[in-house]
Amino acid sequence: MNATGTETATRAEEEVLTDLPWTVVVLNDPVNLVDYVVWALMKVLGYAKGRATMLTLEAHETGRCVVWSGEREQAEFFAQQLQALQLSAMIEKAK
Amino acid sequence: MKVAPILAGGLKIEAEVPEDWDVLGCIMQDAVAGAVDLAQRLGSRMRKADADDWETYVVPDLRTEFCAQVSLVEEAINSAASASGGGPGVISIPAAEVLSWFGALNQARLGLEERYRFGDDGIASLTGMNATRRSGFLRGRFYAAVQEIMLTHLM
Repeated sequence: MNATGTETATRAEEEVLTDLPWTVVVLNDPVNLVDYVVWALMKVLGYAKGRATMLTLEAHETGRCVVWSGEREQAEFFAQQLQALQLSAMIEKAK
Repeated sequence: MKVAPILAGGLKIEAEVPEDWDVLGCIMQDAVAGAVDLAQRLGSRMRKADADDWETYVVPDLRTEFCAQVSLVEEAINSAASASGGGPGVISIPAAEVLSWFGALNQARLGLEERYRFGDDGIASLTGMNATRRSGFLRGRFYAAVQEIMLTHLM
């Protein structure tokens, strides 16, 4: 009874986790200019300047910022594009 | 040295004295200083489960792209310096190459940061710096100023 209950709980959690979206995170760094990061977010993610600026300032002030969330494959693509522009970007599973 | 956008959409850098070529030549040296492998460093940000794939499929492309940026800048500077005989001369940067120049300057600033750890040092801290560090600090400011011109007028 206990063993069966544990197994069921584990499976349920795994299903939930695989359904969670992925996020693209940009880290603050001492080299990239704020205006450049804004430009990069506009170029790669297609954001308006206001949104890109808000996200950039969040990364600047807190050290990191989630800039996009969704399917894993698209998140990898965006992270790669941002890295190609020399931004410290990575993907994470949404929490 | 003068740096200005041109009507055709690119940028020109005018070297006015022989020393300007030395300053421009520092871009390449600073970009490789400290043995910074930018592609590797960016790839290392990925979570452990993805790191190997990223290292295999993404990092080599990034490395090739970053090396190409520095090579393009090196060729343009050497070519213009050679054409001017080391005297006054002009580097013309077409609009299509602005992003490569921006990337090379970013790598140069990254190399300087790796070496000297300026962080948020302001201009006021110059008096406490030795000559080598001060020179690096000023080059970093110059590179950033060129980048700002690119961002404002060309990107």
